[in-house]
Amino acid sequence: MSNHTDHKSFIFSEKIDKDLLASLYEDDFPYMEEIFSITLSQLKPDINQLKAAFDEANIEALKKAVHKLKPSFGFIGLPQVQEQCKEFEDACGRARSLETLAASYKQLVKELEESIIIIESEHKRLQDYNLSQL
Amino acid sequence: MSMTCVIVEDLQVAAEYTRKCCEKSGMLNVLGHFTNVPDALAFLNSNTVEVLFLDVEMPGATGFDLLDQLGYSPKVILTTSKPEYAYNAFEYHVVDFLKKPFTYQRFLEALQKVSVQEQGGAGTTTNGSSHSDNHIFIKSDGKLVRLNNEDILYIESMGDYVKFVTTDKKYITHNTIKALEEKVNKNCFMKVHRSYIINLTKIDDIRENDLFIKGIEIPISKAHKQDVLRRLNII
Repeated sequence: MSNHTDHKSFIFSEKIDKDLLASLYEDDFPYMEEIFSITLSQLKPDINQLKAAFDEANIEALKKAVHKLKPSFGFIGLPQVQEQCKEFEDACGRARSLETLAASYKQLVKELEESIIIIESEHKRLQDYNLSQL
Repeated sequence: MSMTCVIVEDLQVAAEYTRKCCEKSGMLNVLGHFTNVPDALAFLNSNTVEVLFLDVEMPGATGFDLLDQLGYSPKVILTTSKPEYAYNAFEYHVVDFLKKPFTYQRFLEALQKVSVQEQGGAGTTTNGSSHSDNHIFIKSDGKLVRLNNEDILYIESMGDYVKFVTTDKKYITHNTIKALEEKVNKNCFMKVHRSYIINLTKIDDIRENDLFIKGIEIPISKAHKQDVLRRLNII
């Protein structure tokens, strides 16, 4: 586990809620790296499932897919994306047709894909940082 | 105390985090992790566990379906990202409800409730009084605001009002230190002066007749000093 001085030397991207991460993992950066890795490996198939549900116009499956995605973002310090997922999940619950969801779906997918890039980048930086601490 | 538990959770990162919390607590022995209800049921109906960490929405069947089919009643802690399930949680007599992602501190509070129930304590279900042990509600700006004990640094008298100073905000409400002294959790809080109640876990240091919390100097009255020192873990 890193010491306090080391902790200060790792700076997360400003898009990441570092206080949320600290509340979950304190300064255990090797564990954070593991969490980012697990999240990345799961998010990609889960996002594909979301896209498949939309392509099949299956609103119930779309709702389930976004429900499953949602908490992952909380665990890696992106609560705003978790909230956006929640709003889309709620919208799915109200929707009577796929057309009413199209715009928010497009926006959500854009946000998810941008988030993947951030998570990949932070994961790589955490890996480098943890290696430098060995 | 060491209790057996199982994690039923389809989100891998949440399962891993819960497992880590279990290990860190030193109070739980994780017997398994299952990502769906049928697999979990097959295990649980042939292995009795004491505590069940249970997600609600999973592929094929829900956590509540599992509880409907389980042949016994372990202590259940729901782990979900959907607060709307709180009502069902109440109906199923679950011990606590953890909204993902939850902090380790919040996890420990849930375990504490399990311990109380294990020891035959009363009123620890979802609507029970034990909730008041870890938080209080105050009236502020026309609404009731929940303050978790762990977030409160100290409470300061302002005449007929008091100021709650938390880690990130200050709240002023109509009340007195004297009245609050009876209402706050005495395991966490202590009156150290006629104008101050402090969170004992937040003290950074004590010098002479003052204590410091996040750089704020708080006087300790002569009448309370010995009690304060007795409450500290002085080696």
